[in-house]
Amino acid sequence: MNRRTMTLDEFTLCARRAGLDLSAAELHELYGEIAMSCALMSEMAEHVKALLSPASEPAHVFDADGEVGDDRR
Amino acid sequence: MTDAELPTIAEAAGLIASRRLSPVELTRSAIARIEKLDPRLNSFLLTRPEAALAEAGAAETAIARGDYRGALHGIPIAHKDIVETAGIRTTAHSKLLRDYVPQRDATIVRRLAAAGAITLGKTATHEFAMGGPSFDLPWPPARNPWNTDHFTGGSSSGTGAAVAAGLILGGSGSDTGGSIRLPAAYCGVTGLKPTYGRVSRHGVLPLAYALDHVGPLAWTAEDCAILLQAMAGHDPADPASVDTAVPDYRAALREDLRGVRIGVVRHFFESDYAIDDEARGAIDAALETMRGLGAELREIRLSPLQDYGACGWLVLIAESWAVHETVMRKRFRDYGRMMRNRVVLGAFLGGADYVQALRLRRQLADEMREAMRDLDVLVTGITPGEAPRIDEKPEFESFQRPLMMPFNVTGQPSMAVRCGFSRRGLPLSLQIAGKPFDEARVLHVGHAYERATPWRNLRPKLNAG
Repeated sequence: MNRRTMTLDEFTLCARRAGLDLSAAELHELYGEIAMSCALMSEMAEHVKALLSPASEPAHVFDADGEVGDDRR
Repeated sequence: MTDAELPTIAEAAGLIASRRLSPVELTRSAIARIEKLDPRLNSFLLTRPEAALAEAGAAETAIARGDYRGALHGIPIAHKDIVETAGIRTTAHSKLLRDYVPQRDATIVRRLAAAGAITLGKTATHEFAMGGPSFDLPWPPARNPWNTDHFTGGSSSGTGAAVAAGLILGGSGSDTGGSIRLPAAYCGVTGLKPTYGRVSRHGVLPLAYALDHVGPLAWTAEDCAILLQAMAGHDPADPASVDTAVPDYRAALREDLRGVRIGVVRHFFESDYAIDDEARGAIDAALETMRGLGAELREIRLSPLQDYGACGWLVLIAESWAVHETVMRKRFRDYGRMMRNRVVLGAFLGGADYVQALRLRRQLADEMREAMRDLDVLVTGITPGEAPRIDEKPEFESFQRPLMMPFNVTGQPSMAVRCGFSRRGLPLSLQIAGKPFDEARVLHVGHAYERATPWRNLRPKLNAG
């Protein structure tokens, strides 16, 4: 399984945004300890989204691949 | 009191009610066993022997004048150390709370005391009920009385170990992802996670609001029924507490299973998460015993375990981060490594991920309700096999215990019951789950099975440390 783990930079950004009061060295150590677990959580999140039944989705179906319209035309 | 003389709550209650056993004698015996055996088990973080003996004396006096409160009167129990006890230190097994003394009792403490139970002390747990065993905390983790090189399971680890070793006759635990049922299974006792909202969580330190349950651990299903009777019931102080009638759990216990419809969720423990041959063999034998007692068995299919696991862990991690976020931002290093490395994962989750998990939760609960429409209980696996060694370390957090998480996700009652032993003499267990608020049926099935099998007659052989 190709499990995508965050880079250290991505991890550090998230940790800082979460307000963790840790030094760069501590964040590096924490990254080593939990990066795989973070990746596993992301996989779980994708798995959950895939399971949600279409009938439970909003009535307005958003076309993720549609073009942005320009109403000024 | 020797191992052979250790009574259950039900047995002790009969002896106490008929004045053939003194609550003081019973409590003194429990204190002696704790002093002799707990140095090897570390099941207690705190004991209060003088106060317990005083309470036992008061119970004895009250019973002598005819003021008998019921089966728990004069019975020594203990509380998991996330349950607040007024004037008694409550630490959550954490450096952060090592000196915390609550001013109030949790509702379950108050109710069990009102029923006459004697609080002997506070039992070991995983730090804030989240992940263990940890060796970097102010107190060591509890050890399995069947083999002290092995894990108790957690997080109600101390209660499980203390009941198995006969140090107490019963106790409280909490269960967010299996934390009553896992130590019950690994320590070979009976542990019940009631329906969400059945037992008040007021005064119990939270881990995940949507998944936390509080319930009893004891030697038998009957004893769990007695404890639950005192613990259950609406509490306005707990916003999740449900105002629905509490039945007489003990009156519902029968020794046959005639007419009971059991759904066997075999794919959970044979393909979704294959347990070992010993554990599977023990469950198959138990199912045949249940069939022999008159139960009707049929296999059913539910969503795969992975679906429940993903849903449950996302909710648990997000909510535990919400509980600890403010403190953990500033005092990250004061938490133990295992606990903090789990909870901090919530900082990397998005709010949308949490919302989607809650939506899936509703779908899974609806599916479960439909699947159980013509059934009374489910039986399935609970652990991969015997308790592992206490020093086994996982490579990274892989979010195990998948066999228990479905019933935290759906909120229905579920109970661990011993069904045999491994070749190495460690307990093997199974799981009985019921419909919401039908703890009576779950207890009935567990009780009937226990009475038909020899497992309750075997206690761990322990020597002083």
